[in-house]
Amino acid sequence: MPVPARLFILLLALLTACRPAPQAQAGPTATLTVEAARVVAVPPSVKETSVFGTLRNPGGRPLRLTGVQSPAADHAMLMVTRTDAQGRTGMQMTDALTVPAGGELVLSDTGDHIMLMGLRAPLREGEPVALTLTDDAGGTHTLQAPVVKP
Amino acid sequence: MTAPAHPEGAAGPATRPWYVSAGLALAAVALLLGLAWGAARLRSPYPFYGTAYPAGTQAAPFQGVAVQGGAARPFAFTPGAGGQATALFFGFTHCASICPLSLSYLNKARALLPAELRSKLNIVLVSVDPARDTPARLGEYVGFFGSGTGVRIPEPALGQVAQAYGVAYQKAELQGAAYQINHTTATYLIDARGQLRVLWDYTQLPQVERVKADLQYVLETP
Repeated sequence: MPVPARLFILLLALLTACRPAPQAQAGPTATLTVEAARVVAVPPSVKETSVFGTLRNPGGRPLRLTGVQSPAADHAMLMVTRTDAQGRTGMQMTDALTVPAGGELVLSDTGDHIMLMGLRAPLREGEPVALTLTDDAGGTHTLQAPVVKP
Repeated sequence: MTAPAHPEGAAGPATRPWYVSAGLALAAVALLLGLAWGAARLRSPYPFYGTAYPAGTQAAPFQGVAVQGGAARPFAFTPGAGGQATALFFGFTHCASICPLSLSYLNKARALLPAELRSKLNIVLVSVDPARDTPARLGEYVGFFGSGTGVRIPEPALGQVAQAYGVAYQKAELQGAAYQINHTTATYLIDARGQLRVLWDYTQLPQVERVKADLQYVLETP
């Protein structure tokens, strides 16, 4: 191996070693912004619905959302949409939804979204529903999504 | 600008003026393009946005129970009965995203149709969850997102109807919550002659203008 290449590798190794290890820190990390957030209006007898919208992460690190809660529902879940080999489409729970660094995550009926199950009261069109998202760095992000009839 | 004194070349025999040749060439090209277009149209008479069925695909009839006129009554679906077309969808009321949106988009597409065509299209939801979906619940659900009929077909008849339309469905347990049903998400358009004409996947339905164009063509040319 030529000398410059060896030097280069040594330098790389040194740089890698010197970089401080990332520390998980409590408290909010990057601020999450949300656009066109909405809860799908459903008739009073229906106890589950979805939340759609666009989440934006202006920060320099991916934001890994690992939990969601809402006072409007017994359970709130992070969901993905999957279609199997037989063409059956459905929702599955997922451990995390990631908003890329400097990017966005679109929550929709055809892809990732939030599901509310066990609605505690009938939803009224136009009223806001509060949602709290938690990320794996301990940050919390609260948003309001109005009830909208699709 | 003055016209040339000798439009034809002085040398050689008199030729056709250039613009006549150009005109003939253009006419030949237009004819060829027209023939190609005609051949393409013969093979696929209308450029559907959805997926077209081969001509003469008869839709399957079925029977169930649905709320009609405020009460649950036997509901018999005879494809094309009364000169009506039907947009048929298989779903369930515990469905949190796909079904509400599908019903909503279908109603929006129908609302875009000319008034005289609007009344010729029914929207029908067949439940793939007869264990939980009562006719009353289905009626409320379909009515909430617009107008249509929500039909409960008990097993094993439901399985046969689903198979006739190529619909697959399967129960999916959710951790700490009520189960969901994974299902085929297409909407089937049956014309006034009882034939399957086109299907749209639910991911296509947001393009309501294009769905409306398909609907209008099928309603105008049964």
